[in-house]
Amino acid sequence: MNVLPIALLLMLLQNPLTSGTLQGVVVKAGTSETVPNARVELRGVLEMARYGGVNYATTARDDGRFFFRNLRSGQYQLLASRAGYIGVEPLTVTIETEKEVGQIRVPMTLAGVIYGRVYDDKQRPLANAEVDVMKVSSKGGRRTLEFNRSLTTNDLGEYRAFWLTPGRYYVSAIHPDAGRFRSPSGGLGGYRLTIRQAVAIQLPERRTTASYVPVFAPSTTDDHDAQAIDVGPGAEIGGIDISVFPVQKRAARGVIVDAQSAQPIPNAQLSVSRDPVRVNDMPYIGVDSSNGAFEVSGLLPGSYTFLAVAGALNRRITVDIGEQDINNLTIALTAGMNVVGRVTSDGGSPAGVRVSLRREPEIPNFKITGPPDNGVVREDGSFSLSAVAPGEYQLAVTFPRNLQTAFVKSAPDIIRVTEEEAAPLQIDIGSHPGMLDGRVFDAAHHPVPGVTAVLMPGYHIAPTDASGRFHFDRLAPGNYRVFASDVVDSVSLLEAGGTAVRIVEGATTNADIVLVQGDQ
Amino acid sequence: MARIAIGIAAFLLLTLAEAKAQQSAVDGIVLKLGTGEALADADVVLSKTNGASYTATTGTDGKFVFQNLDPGEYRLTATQEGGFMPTEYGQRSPNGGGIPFTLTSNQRLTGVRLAMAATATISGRIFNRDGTPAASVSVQALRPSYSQISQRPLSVAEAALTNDLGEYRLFWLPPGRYYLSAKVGGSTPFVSPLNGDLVDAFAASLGIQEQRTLENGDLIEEINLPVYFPGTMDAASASIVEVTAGSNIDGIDFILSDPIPARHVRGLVIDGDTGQPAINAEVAVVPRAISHDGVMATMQTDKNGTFDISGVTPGSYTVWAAYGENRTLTGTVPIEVAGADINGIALTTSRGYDLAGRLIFDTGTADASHPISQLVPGLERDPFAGLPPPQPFGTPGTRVAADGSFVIRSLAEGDYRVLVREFGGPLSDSFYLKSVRLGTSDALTNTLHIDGKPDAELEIVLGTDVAALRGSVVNQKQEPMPNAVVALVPYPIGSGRQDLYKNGVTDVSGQFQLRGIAPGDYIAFAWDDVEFGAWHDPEFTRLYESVGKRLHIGEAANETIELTIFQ
Repeated sequence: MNVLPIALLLMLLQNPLTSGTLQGVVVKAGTSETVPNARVELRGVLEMARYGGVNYATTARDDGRFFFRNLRSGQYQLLASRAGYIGVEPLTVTIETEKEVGQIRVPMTLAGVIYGRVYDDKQRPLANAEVDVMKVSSKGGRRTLEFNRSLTTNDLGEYRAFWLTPGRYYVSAIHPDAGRFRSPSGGLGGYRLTIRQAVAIQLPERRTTASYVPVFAPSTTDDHDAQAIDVGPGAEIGGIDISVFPVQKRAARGVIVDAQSAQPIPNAQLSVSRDPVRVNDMPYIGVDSSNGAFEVSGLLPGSYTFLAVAGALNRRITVDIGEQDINNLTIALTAGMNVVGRVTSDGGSPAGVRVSLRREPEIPNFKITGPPDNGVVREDGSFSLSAVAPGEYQLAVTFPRNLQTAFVKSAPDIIRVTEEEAAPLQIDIGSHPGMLDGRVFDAAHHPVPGVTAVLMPGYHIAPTDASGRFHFDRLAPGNYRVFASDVVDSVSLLEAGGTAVRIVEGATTNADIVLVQGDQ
Repeated sequence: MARIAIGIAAFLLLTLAEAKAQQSAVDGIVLKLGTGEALADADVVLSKTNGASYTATTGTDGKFVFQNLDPGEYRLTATQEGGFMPTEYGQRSPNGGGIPFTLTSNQRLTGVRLAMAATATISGRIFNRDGTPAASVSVQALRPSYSQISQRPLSVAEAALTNDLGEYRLFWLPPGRYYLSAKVGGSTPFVSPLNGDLVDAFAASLGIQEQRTLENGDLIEEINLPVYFPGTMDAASASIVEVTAGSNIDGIDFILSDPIPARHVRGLVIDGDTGQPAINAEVAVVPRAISHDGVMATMQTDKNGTFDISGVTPGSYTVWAAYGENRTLTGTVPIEVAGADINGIALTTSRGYDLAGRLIFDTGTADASHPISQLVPGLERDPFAGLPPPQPFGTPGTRVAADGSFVIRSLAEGDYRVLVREFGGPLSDSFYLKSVRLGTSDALTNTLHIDGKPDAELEIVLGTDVAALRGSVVNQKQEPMPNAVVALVPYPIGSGRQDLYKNGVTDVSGQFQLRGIAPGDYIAFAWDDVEFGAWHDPEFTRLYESVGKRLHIGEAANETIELTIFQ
């Protein structure tokens, strides 16, 4: 673990610098502790298309140091890999002829392991079961599960998911008789929406027989009840055993009608989702175009939202699925409500600002399109939204180009639309937002490049540059928390962690923060 | 192995007992081979030849009964999900096939014992050269396969990836003899778009090889080759791991080798019609030896018609290129890759050549039951080189006219073996290839070599004076041996053509019959447990030369023979 002084290293360089040189050291993220023998790669940014792979690669020495010589000038991405470690986002470096880039610190994090066994419903080890390791992602502040690893059990029912990036995980297993769970197009890329829309197709066969769906550890089909497994750097978490069992899927049947005439509506669209969508939601929806009859099958017990739309008419209902099929549902479509409001501004005219309503819970992949000027704020600050189905919404405000620094100063959090006439919405926008500048340091007071600073609430993110600086702008005044971690999506950090900062209208706040490591 | 097989034979080969029941029936028990314990939850299927099939699932006593059966020929098979080999009535070894049996009216076949062999496990750890565990390494259990006549590649029986501790576990293996291989960066086998074979990987010049920069700035390209247990890169000197039914063999540990230098193959593809560079032509570097691990590198030519394929290890290859719609223009160049890159290959594609020919029966007259226009002359690449079919996709099939004449269209350059089949059928028992000539050259004992427009007709003479060989197989005690494998191999061993080999299986009374035999000298064998097709391998067959029975088969002869089974 000897760290040679830089002057000595320069003396050791015997060749003249006929072209670019780069040297650095691989360290455990947030420490000065070196990581030996990592493979370090330089990928030419422009060359990538041509070679499709590595341009230069070397192995770091026992003391973590690595050297590249005779490099062609250009921009490169610097990456490190090593068994049992996770690299950070690639660093971008520029190589110039006759120049040396020195003392690059490449941080790596120790990876974790989850292992266990899968049993069938008679508690026998289950071979060839597909085990899916899912990672919680908080992109956009919304909790979603993304496929991280897919494995198969051996004849003893054993699985072992290794080299996991530290973070929060859920593990599911599915019986081999159920076929592959992952959609072929989905790959490992992540979470696929399971909502299907149906327009004018024949009713499907009734699919209510017992079948296998993914079962989450320890023994649930609902990922919201699943055991959360927090994997820290270097952690080995065993005993994550899963017993798979067949489940009975249910169906809901009914008819879509016009609320005014009580006549069935052919050609309606129906969407079905849970709040929010569960990994195991695979409803299969059929609507008979001749008489408005529908059947939704493949439902697991739980509470679902059914949204039906036909032209300007729509309706959303909640359907609770229990131990029985549900028959004779009626979804009566109405024209929806007009929502009106006013936008006030401390600066110029708010004309051109667009107000829209986001469904909460959101129904993925589904939009009701109104008239083109729906929600656009007029010169006098007023706006209106037509054909809004009763329900709960969140407000979304988008600004035109001439109001680039504008931000929402105050607005209602949740908007409840009922069948009663409601008071106009009041939205106040400001034109002097706050900003936040800062730097990220590690425990040894080195600036940390190439990590992501996160500002909560709102899940604002900004990368740090080569000197560890980050910048957030267009912030509404108020109290925030800011942090940077090698476990970027650490749930506890997102929920409560970080350094408290106060953002003031029209001013820049400064904050230097220390990188939070996953094992702290 | 032999001992297991005897055990099964004793369990299964029962006499058909007459019973008093009004209708035919079958009953029995499913057992675990070796221990004799009853097996529950086994699915037993009784299927009538060209008729219905019936399924029963055994309870904890392992017993099954099928009643009210029509007389006829049946097969009886037991399967159990995972952990056991499928087992059929009359089976002589865990990997062998069974035989059908006949139920007459009011006959009860009773007390059938289907003894199921448990599958086996091989496990161990893979290490890097520095002693650290090697993770995500593809470990494969390989066994010889005789699917390609005259060559004996290894085929993958099971594959698994190591975990971060270097551990692997290959399970549900049929009992038998395996080679083990481990390879870094091994990918899932997939089907080659060129010829439909399973290949280990299919990639252009990316992904497979490692690039490494030396401290002096030199760029080294390397590739990982498989290592065979106990630690050799040469499959021929690998050790065999033998697993018996139900065995769990642990500790099959071995160490990866360092990657070896990989070379480039560079050149130019030329459109044979215009003489111009062929842009976006498909180029592949195809290993000439068949391997379970054959890595085929492919790419498309650039706008100058040139290609640069990297990641090629030392060995013999054929560079193949195809160009144009339906790959109508093709060309090949053989290369030997050793210690350096190969540059400057010029590969001219052509549309192939039409080969005209004539089919003749040696009697001069057509056989009414086998009209000559129902016969299909075909060509196979010889040696089989992993190359695509000899004719471009969409080439019309070869049709034989009433006078026996035919034209094989758009035939690519290469070496071929001639076959004649009946339309839609296998090789016929009614005739054999008596002579094949292209002008003055013999294209039967030698390969048919095409490297330009043929200057003569291909004359194929079919011999109709085929012989038949019938006989019985007995053991040392002169007892008849049902379900024994019989092979007839041209003598001396290794001298004959592959199409002269014949094989069959004895029936319930130990009798066999082989038809369609070309006159000549042969040696005949009977085994109770042999890997199917192994007799095509002269090395294997010579091991048994002393127990085989030599015989001369005359023209249109009807010979009879008694063979003693080798156990």
